[in-house]
Amino acid sequence: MKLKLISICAYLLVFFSSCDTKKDFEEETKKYFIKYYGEDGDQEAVDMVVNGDTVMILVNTTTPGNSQRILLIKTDLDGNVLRQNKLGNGKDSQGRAISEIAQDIEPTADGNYLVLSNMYRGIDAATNEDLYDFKVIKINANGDSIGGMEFGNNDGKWTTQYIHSITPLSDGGFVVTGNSTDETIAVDPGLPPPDQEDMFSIGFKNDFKTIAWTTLELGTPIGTTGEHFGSGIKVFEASSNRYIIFSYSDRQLLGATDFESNFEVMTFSGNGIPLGFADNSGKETSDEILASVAKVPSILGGGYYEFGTSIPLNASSNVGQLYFCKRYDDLSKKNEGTVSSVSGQFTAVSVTPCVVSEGYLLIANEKTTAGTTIRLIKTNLDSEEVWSVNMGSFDKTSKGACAVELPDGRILVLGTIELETQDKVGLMKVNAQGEFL
Amino acid sequence: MVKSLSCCFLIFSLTLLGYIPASAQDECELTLSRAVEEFNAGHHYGIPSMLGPCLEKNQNKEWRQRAYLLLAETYLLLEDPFGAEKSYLEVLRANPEFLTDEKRDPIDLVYLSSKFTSTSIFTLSARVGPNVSFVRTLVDRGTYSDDVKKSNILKPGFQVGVGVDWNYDDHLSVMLEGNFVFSAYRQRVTGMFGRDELSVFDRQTWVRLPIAVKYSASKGQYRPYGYIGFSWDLLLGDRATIQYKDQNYNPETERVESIDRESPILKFKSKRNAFNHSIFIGGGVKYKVKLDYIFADLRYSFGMTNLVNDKNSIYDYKNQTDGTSEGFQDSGDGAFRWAHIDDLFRMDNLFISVGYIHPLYKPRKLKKAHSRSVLRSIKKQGDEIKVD
Repeated sequence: MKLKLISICAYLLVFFSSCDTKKDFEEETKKYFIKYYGEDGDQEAVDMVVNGDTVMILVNTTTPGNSQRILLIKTDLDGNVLRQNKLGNGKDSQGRAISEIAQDIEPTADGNYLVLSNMYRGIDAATNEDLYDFKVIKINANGDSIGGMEFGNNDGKWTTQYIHSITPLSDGGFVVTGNSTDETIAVDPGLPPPDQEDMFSIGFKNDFKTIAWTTLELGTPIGTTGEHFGSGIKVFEASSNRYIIFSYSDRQLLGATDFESNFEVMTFSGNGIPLGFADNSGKETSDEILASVAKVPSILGGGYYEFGTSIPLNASSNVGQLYFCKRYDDLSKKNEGTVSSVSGQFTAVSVTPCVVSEGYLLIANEKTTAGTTIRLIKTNLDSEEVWSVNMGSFDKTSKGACAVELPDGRILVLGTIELETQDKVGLMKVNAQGEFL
Repeated sequence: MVKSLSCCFLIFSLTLLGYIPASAQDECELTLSRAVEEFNAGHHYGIPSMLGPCLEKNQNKEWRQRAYLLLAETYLLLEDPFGAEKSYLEVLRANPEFLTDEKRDPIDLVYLSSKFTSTSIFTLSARVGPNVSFVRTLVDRGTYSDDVKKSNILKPGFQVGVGVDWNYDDHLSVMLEGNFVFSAYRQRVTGMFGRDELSVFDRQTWVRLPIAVKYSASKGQYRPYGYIGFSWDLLLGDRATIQYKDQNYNPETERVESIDRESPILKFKSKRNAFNHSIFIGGGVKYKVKLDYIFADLRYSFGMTNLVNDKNSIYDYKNQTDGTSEGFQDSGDGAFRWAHIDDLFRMDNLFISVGYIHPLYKPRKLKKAHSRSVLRSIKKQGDEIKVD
C-alpha cells in the first residue's frame, strides 16, 4: 500500500513538475508586438519604408519649449531601435526659425532615401494664411544627411506652397506635388465659390535644381473650368519623359453643372507640359478627397489604386465613406466605389498592395465619440473587405500613417497613438488577419 | 497470575480516583467507587450490573473512561474477551488518546489495548494568513523601445483555506486543501521615452487545490511536520491599476515636469491563463490543545505555468469577436492607452498561515494487533518470576 501511494505521488510529481520555460514562448512572442517610440513631448508618425530587414520611420517631434523637428528612427523588423536621429536644426537656409513638418520618405534607386518636409514660417499678416516652404533631405541608409535643398516661393512668384509627396526619379532627380493657398498661381475658375487653393507639381534634376513645374488648374485649355480647391497627391514616373500625377479637385466636369471634388489623373511630360486627363472618378453627390495612391505590382494585375474619402456635399466634417478607384496601366478605370462592408465615419489615410495575401491594406482614421482610432482594413483585389480591425483607445485620438505587408505575410502598421497624456509613434506588428497573434 | 494483575489494577484505579474531586452527592461516582471495592474484593460478576444504570445515564467522558476501564479488566478476569474488547473500545471513545502503560496497567489490559487504535483517519483543518508573490519573468516584453529598468515589488496578499488529511499512519498522511488566495505584485518600469515611469499594481484571486504528502511528528506538545506536493491553481480574477508619470524636461523652467495619471481598474482576467499548476514545499509546527491542534505553517509555491495568455495579451480575442467594436478596443486599453504589455511570467508565492486542526478520531479494532512488544514484555516478566 505504502509503495503504491509513493508511486502515485511520484508520478503526479513528475507530471506537475513540467513547467513553462522561456524557450516555449520566445519565438512566438517575437511574431507580434506593439512598440512606442519617442522622447519628451509629442511625436507624430508620418511614414515608413521597409527595406529588407530594416524599417525607416519618419516622425514629427515636438518637445516642450522647442519647435517641431524631424525625427528619424531606424529599427529592425522586431521593432528594436537601431538608430535615432533628428534632421535639421529648426532654421532654414536663411537662418530663419521654422517648424519642420515631416511629410514623406521614399527610397531612391541608389540605396538612399529622400525625406520631404514642409517648413512652417508663420502666418501671412495680409491674408492670415499659414506660410510654408519645403525642404528635401537626402539621407543614406544610416540616416545621415548627405545632401538636400530648400524651395522657397518659387523665386518670389509664390507666397506659400504645401507639398504632399515626393517621388524619386530614375535619373536621380525627383518630383514633388501638393497645393498652395496662394490663389495667384493659376487662373481662377471664375465661378463661385471663391478660389481657395491651386495645385502644382515641380520636377528637379539630380543636382536638385528645378527643371519644370506645372499647375493642374488647366481649366480652359482642356475644356473645363478650373478648381476652387484640390491638391496633387502623388506622382509616378511612367517613363523618363512621361509622368502621371494623381490628385483631387472640385473641377467642374464636362457636362456637370456644379463643383464637387473627384479623383483626378493627369499625365505630363518630363518638362512639365500637361498631356491630358484620364477619366475622373467619384460621385456627384459627394466630395471625393484623394489620400493615397499605390502602384499595383504586375503580379496583382498592375495599374494604380486610388484611395480616399467620400464626404457628402455640404457636410460639416471631413469624414465619410472610404472610396477607391482601381485603374489599369493605361489609366482607364477598372472599377471604383465605396469600400464595401466597411461601416463608420472615416478619413482615408493610405493604401498598400499585398502581394502575399493578394489584396490591399487600407489605413483610415475612424471617428469615435471622443476621438479617432486607426482602422486597418484588408480587402481582396476587388476592394471587398476581408477583415478589418481597429487600433487605439476608443476615447483617444490615434491616427494611422501606413501599413506594409512583410514577406512572411505579417503586417507592420505605423500610427500615432494618443496615450493617456501624450502622443507617441506606434509600430504594430500583427499577423495576416490583423491580430496580435 | 490473576491475583497479581488484580492487585496492580487496584493500585491503578485508586490512583485515578485520587485525581478526581470526591463528591458525596455524585451517585455514580459512589457507584464506581463501590465497583472498584467489589473488584478488589474479587467479586467480579456483579460489577457490570452495578455500573450499567450509570453508564446509560451518559456520564462525563472522564467517568466513562474509568468505568469502562474497570469493566474491561473485569471482563478479562471473567474470561469474556468480547465484553473486554467492547469495553475497551468505549474507553477509547471516551478518550481517544488513552494509552495503556506497561508499568502502570495490568499486562493483560496492555495486551488488549494493542489490538485497538483510535488514530484519526481524517483530520480537518482551517487556515488563514498572509502571502507575497514573486514574479519570475519568462519573456521580457513591453511597449517601450528604450533601455528601461524594470523591477518587481512585493505586495502583500492573503489566503484562507480548509483542508483534510488522510492519515496513512501516525506519521504519514496525504493532505488535500481548498484555498482561496488573494495575491498581488507591483511592477515598475522606469526610463520609458527617456524619463517616463510606469507602475502596474496587479491583483489576482485564486482557488487553489493543493495535494501533498506530509510527514508529522506524532508525540509531544509541539509536533513539527513537513510536506511536499502540487497544486491545481484556478485564476478567478485579475485586476490591475496602472500609474503613469509622463515626465518632460522644460527648458524654460529648466526642470522636469511630471503629469501623473492613474488608470481605472483594468480587468486583466482575459489576458491570463485561468488553469495553472504549481509545486510546493512547506512545513510547520502543531501545538496540541486538548485533542486538537493549532499550527503555524510556512509554504513556498513554485508556479510552473506561464500566467499570461500570450494569445490574448493585447486585445481580448476570446470574448470580443468584432475587431472594430468599442468593447474590443477597450480590451486593448492596457497597451493602447497606458502603454503596458505584460511580460510572460510564472509566479511563486510564499504563504504564512496559522490555523486549527481537528482530528476526527475513530476508535477501532486493528486488523493486525501491535502485540509483539507486549508479548515480549509478558515473556520477560515470566522469566523474572522464575528467577525469583
